[in-house]
Amino acid sequence: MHLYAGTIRGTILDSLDVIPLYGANIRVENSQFGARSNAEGRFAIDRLKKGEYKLRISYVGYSTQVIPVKLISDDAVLNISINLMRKDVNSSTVIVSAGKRTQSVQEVPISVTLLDQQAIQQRNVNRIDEVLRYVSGVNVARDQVSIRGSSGFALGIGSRVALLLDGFPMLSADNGDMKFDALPMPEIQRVEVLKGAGSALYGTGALGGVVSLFTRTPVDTARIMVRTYAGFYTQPQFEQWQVHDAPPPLYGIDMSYGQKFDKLELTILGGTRYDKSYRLTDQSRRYNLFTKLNYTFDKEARTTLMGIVNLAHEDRGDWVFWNSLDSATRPPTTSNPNRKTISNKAMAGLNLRHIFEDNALLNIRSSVFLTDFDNYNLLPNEEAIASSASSFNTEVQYSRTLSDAVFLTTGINTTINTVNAPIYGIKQQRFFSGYAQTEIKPGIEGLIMTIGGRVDHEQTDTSASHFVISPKIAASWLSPFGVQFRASLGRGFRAATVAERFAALRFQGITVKSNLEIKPEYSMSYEIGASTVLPLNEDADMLMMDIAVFNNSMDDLVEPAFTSTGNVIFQNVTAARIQGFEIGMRAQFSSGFGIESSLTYMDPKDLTLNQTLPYRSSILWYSRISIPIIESITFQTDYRYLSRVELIDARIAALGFIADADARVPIHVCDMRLILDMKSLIGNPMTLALNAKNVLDYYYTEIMGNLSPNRQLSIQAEILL
Amino acid sequence: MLRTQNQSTFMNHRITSYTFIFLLLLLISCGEGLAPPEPDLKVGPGLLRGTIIYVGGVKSWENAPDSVVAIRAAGFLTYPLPDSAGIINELLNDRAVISGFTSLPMFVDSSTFEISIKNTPTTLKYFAIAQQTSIDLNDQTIIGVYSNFPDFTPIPITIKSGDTVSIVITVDFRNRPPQPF
Repeated sequence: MHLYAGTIRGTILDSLDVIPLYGANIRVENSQFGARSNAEGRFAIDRLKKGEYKLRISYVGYSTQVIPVKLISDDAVLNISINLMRKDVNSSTVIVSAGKRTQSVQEVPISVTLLDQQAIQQRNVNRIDEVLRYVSGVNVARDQVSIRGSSGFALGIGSRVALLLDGFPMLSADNGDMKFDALPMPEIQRVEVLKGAGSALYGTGALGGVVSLFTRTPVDTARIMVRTYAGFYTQPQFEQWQVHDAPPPLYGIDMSYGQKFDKLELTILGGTRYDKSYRLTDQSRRYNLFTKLNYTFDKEARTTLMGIVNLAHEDRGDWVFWNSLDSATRPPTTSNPNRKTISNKAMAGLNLRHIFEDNALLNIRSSVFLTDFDNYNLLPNEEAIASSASSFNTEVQYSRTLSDAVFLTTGINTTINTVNAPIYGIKQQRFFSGYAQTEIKPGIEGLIMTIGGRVDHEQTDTSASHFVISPKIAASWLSPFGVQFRASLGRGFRAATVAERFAALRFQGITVKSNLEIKPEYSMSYEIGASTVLPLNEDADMLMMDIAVFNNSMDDLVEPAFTSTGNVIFQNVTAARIQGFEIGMRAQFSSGFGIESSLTYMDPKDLTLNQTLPYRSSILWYSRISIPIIESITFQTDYRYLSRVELIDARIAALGFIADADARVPIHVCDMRLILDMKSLIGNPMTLALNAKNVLDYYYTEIMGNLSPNRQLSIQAEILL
Repeated sequence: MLRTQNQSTFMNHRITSYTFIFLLLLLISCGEGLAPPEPDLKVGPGLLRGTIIYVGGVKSWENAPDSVVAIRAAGFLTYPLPDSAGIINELLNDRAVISGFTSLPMFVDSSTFEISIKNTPTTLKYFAIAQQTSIDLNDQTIIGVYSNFPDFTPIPITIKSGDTVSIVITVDFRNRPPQPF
């Protein structure tokens, strides 16, 4: 029998979304007493005698709180509720993409990788692909993102991963591709990568997953940021590849301002970048302007209206494939080396959110994404590739808590893609969709089941329409022993883009023919996974581990196929299956030391030809270490390994479309940086970073006939005023 | 006591860091990366070198049939050939070699080419210069044949491992060879 029976009970909640925080560490200072919060955010510390105590509550991503409490007798029971404040407004412990609502990462039944502001900022990146390249299971080749082998080589057309910016879709209407240069990178505060088919909520394009980007939310104090960088590519070690007299430079500057004024939040970002490129006649200049306004109509923030405008302009060289491996940094001798591409992107969106008092949410989102590109500096009679396209998207989402155990998300969505291009003609693609998803807590503590689906109707111009049903079933269980188990089964699809159906052009010597009969491609993916967060000590040092086994079966994959006459046509050619597993580990210490590593193994099979699926690496291994040298200096290293692509389309090499197309090696890339926190020296929050990308000057290709960047050295300064 | 704990943690971090960096360097040293091909690799097991001479020089191109989109040299293991579309099939099935998808120089009085022959020994029963007359790869016209010009009977070319064989082909736009299909 215990001498004392005093008890402190409580609940740990996220202060903004009032969701329970699982795994928070609660300690009674100067004692051995403590507890961890359970799946409901509850904890209890007993066997306390009467007296005054201080509770220390810590949780990764949240500010630690110390709360004085008092037990008035030896058998008193004290009930408290503690709201923890996120360190930044968009903490990495909550996500909003997977179920189109805010929920704890521990409740999500699919594999998700979250990158918060710190993880993005520390890498000193200027393009989103520089972040995505180190996300487990993700492979990036130029502007194409592949999640767990979803994409191979598609001439940059038809992304199998959906891209969202603050919830607004960002795939172009004509090529269905991502435009990395159109993203307001310095204001991106959080990246969520959902792995596996996600069409049950996100519709076309989410065949392999979803990449969701969220911009910063301003606070009461004005935040003025100036970030500038300058650097150069070192000369390649092979004389044949040296095409510049001096190391080619790159530089850029971004400035942003953000502040909350009572009910209005304002963000403005502008920037420009120049990159002479390590390749000949491949220089680029880019400009970006981003504005976000968020207005809250009432004190309880039940009704908000957000508007964003995002503009980008790009002027760059226009060649993709090298002349040959011997002259890998030069355009093909038969092409016009002075040919340039000029492109503009404009995106505008409005988002009205209203939270009803009875726990219901109405979310109306409407946006337009305009893209336009053209060539100049053409030779007489040289054919230009140009296109103007617009994608209008409107979505009405209604979510409601039906009971303590049932949560419903429904919505309707329409997308109209219009393309006007000499190479495609004037074409229109229309989607009408509806979706519903229910999350049920069946009574077992920590268990959440999800069932739902989406119906899409797609028609492009006068071609046959397609009707697609994408169901999904999933479960997540926060077990009492601290491990989250998850399982999911879902269908994905992607309707062929206008470019894939109607393209009739010559692209660096390749003649692409149109194909109006093309059908949508499908995937059915399932995965089983587990994750846990282990506290290593009382200092909020944590070890996070995740493991997943997955299978993605794809049918009617749209691939560029070489016909017997040597032309290229996009057609439904392949049934494929990609099986594999993924293991991730991350240790974070309060001292600032951090280490993480993830390994993805895949077995990509072409079931039609009974061979390896081309253009896929079977092993992706990403690692990172962050070492605080002294208080204000941190050293970081990222290492990326991708095994050699096992197979490419032999016909490309046989026909000589791309010289030395078969030149491929494993990818070993190491990035290093030294980060100096200057605040202690100059008083203002300023960071200096010395960056070395591809520090070992390793030469490799990510797509055929295209040498990836060699070593790049730069210095970056960021000051907050 | 606290100091000792911190020192111990710091040492652990250092050991982990050094181990990580050592493993990283070990792994990277396993990969050599891409490099320009060595000159002898460009030759390959066998090499066919050719010179094309256009009778009448640059002006002779006025007599070229239809449009001149590209000029390529191609050798075939079988003869006669199927129709012009079948030329591509011969290439796809490894029964032919070409000077590359990129065109040889056009509107010149002569030009040279090199073709690396990987499967040696091999005998090319028919070797010709083809002119592409539209953007469609199917539209090919033979404008010159390796033969005892002006006789157009093809001369087979045999290339053995390590051999470099040099040939000369004459193209006369006013006296074109018969099409081989």
